[in-house]
Amino acid sequence: MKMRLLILFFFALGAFAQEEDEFTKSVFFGKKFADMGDYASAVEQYAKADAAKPDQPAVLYNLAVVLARAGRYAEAQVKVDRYLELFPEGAERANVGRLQLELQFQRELQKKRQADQEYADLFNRARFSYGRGELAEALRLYAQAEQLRPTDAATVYNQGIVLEKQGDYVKAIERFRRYSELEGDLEKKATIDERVFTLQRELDDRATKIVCGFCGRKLPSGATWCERCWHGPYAVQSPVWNSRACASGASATRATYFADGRFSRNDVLPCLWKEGSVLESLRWSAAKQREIQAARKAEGWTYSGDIIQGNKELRFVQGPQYLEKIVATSGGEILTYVAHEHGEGMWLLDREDLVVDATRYTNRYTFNEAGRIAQQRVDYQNTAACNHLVSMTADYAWDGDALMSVNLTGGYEGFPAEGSPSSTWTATVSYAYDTNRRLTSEELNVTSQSKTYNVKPHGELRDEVNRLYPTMRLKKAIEGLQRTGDLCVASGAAALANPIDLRPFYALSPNLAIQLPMGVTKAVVTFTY
Amino acid sequence: MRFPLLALLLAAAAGAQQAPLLCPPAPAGRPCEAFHYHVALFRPDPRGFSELAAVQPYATQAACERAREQAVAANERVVAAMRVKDQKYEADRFGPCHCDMTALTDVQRVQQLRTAEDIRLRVRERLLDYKVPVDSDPMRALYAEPPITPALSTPKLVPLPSTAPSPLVTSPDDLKPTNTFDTTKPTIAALDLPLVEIEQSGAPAPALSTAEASPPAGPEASPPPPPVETVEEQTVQPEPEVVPEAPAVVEEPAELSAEAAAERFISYETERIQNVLKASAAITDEDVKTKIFEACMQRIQLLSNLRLLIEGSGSRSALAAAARDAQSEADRLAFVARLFGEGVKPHWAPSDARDVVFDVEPEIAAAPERALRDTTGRFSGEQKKRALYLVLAQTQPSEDQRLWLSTVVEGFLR
Repeated sequence: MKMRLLILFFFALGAFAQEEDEFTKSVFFGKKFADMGDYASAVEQYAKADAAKPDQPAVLYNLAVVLARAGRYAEAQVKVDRYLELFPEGAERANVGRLQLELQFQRELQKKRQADQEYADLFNRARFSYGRGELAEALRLYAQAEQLRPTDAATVYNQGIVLEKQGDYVKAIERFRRYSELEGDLEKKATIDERVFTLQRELDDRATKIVCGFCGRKLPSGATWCERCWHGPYAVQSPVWNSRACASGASATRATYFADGRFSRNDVLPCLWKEGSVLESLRWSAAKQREIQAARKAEGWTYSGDIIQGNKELRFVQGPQYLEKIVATSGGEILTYVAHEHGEGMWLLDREDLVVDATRYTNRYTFNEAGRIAQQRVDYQNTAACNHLVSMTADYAWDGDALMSVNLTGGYEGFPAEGSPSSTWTATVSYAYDTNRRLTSEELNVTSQSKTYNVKPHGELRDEVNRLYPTMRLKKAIEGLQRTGDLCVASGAAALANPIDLRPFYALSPNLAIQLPMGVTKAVVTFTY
Repeated sequence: MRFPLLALLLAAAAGAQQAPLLCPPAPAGRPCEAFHYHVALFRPDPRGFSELAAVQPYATQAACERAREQAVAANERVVAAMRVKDQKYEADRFGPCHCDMTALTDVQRVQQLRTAEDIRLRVRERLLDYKVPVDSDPMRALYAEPPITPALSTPKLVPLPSTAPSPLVTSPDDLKPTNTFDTTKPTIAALDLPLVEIEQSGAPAPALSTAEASPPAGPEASPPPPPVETVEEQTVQPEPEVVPEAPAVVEEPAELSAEAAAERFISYETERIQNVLKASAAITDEDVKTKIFEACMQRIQLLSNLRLLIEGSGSRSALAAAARDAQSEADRLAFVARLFGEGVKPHWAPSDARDVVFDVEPEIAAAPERALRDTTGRFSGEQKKRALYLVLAQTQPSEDQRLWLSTVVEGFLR
């Protein structure tokens, strides 16, 4: 029995010694691994030591430290709690207190990192959406991010960028200004101030500028023509020019009548202004300007900066301030322009060459004090008929921006060989407006037309004139001229004529710049809005 | 009316008989802006020539030549038709293309054109008399005009292009990155708590452990500062609330080892910075809080690096000695000032948690190590000390770098 007890005692002693060895080894290894910075292995070793001899204060403490160093804070906290439960006055108490604090700090740190991560996720999703062009979504996410960190300048800046891309410059400016408040870096502040200035200028320009529909040039909104291509008129305030809006229910119809009152025909005039008015349709924006220029460039037009220079067929000779000539590169024809400045950036044509349907006209304008056309004189040689040198004049009467009436006269002195015919006509255009100052009707009436042969035509030409006007008598006005029209020579079975050609009066109105068909003496344009 | 016109025609005809059909020469050196040609038109009744200079000008000599050739060809067709009945009918005389130097008034130009058109009508009358049909080629040739380039007839008002708007270009590079957090920082903060030596109850220490037989003076040797109270909401608290009390000076060997000196100094300062962090919890401004957090994280990194420097520099080094001697608050701050400059002092032991944050000149902040290594004299001693702060706070120096930093620190302390 004694022997058995002795054996048991030695066995227990051996086991205890083995356990002690295991404990000592684990503690030693744990320290070594910790010194090497291998905290996972250190944890393993100290855990073994803890298993070998549970609840040793120093082991509990060291295990908690290496667990914390390994980033296993929750487990470290368990060990700290265990230590404090068992050894509230232990030798490591001070360090355990610090470790406790450290673990609290780590929890705080993790909380913060989590918040950071949440913020970073929002930020990155917003960035991703922006990259895909999903601006509304990007803006929503940035706004959400701003709720989390209202003072993060980057979020505010990025909102500004998105809004700018959306074209909402007012809000973009507000965001950039807020960014400027949040940003501490002076250089970045200066950069954003410049950006705000640019956007503000663009906003101002949107309010006060229009774009030339042909070349895309930025013009003051009172400009009649674009001085770099002489397209126009861009009469943004004129009710006459605002009469052809593209809107549901809006219409413009031109009815023409013969001299004897018979109806000739109706023409439905297509709408001109997609945005409803001249101003809205032509209102400047950088994007619109780029679009027009891109379209022209695609057609082969070239630019120097914003100034159009021509294409393969036409060369624009740009003077220092306006387009002075257009030269046809192949045909060599030259169109000449003379202008003067009226107000800043606004140029008015004094003289221009105009080609309509292969007929070349020369327009000369005079203007009233407000820069509106007071008189227009047109000279042309009717090469489409008998080469007569025709002159026409239009006198414009205004009430503010509303054109009230136009008095037109025209005619020519024929050549001796054909009997020196003298041909004249007069016409009036009158305008009616509703109470909203919208044009309701525009009426053209040819009030007189006469032609008188002053001498006998030569030889065969006499017979030709007699065929054209069988009742013609020298120095007597030809009867019924308004009905027949002003005929000059026969061409085969047909006769060539000098119709009343109002096409060069393109600035008068978009509705009546037409060549009146022979015998037509009246045109009435009516509008609905 | 008829007499003066006839007289004018006769006079013109007389002139046209001998006229050179040229303008006066252009002034030397002046570029020619337009070219044209003159033509002496043959009038059948009474026979003679009238010079026409008011011919359409052209931008180039070549264009003028082409127009002239067309006019000559058209006139030849008319002449051919006329000579069937009138052998003496003469062709028009075309002058060469040259620089247009005519200075005709509008009236003169119109007069010339009227003369030319009257002559044309007289030729027409003669052709009609010769029974040439009105729609025949000679009749058309009589009125032939060079065609006008169609592109010149562009309407004055053109519709806006209906092209699709250019696609929106959005590059993430347009955007700014947020810098309210730094994801490059390690996810595990430095822990400066030492492990304690574990006594093996009665068991002999392993032979290997003799190397570490002299344990560093653990923190238990110097009690930690008492826990600090948090600052009140948004209120700057006086120094005692944030700064831990100086630890009680304990009995210690005549000269602490470098490790022990490091441990004592660093553990004290670690607690100080943790107290700052704790105090910052009362601040509600997230932005400020974040900045304090960043500054504290940097300080913890700095302390960790400083510990390595002190331990590595050996017990007899100036650094270890200075750390050893820094026992009172004043000594600590003096030690810190010698290392990182006088300007760091108020931020090192801040009376308000917010003061832990401090700015360094951008030039140094951008490349602190370069500033510290600078030998050109571009940076003052104080600036270099601030650079040392940043190097220790923002990096984890390699062993070689620590050796160099030890030298730098020794230099500052000397």
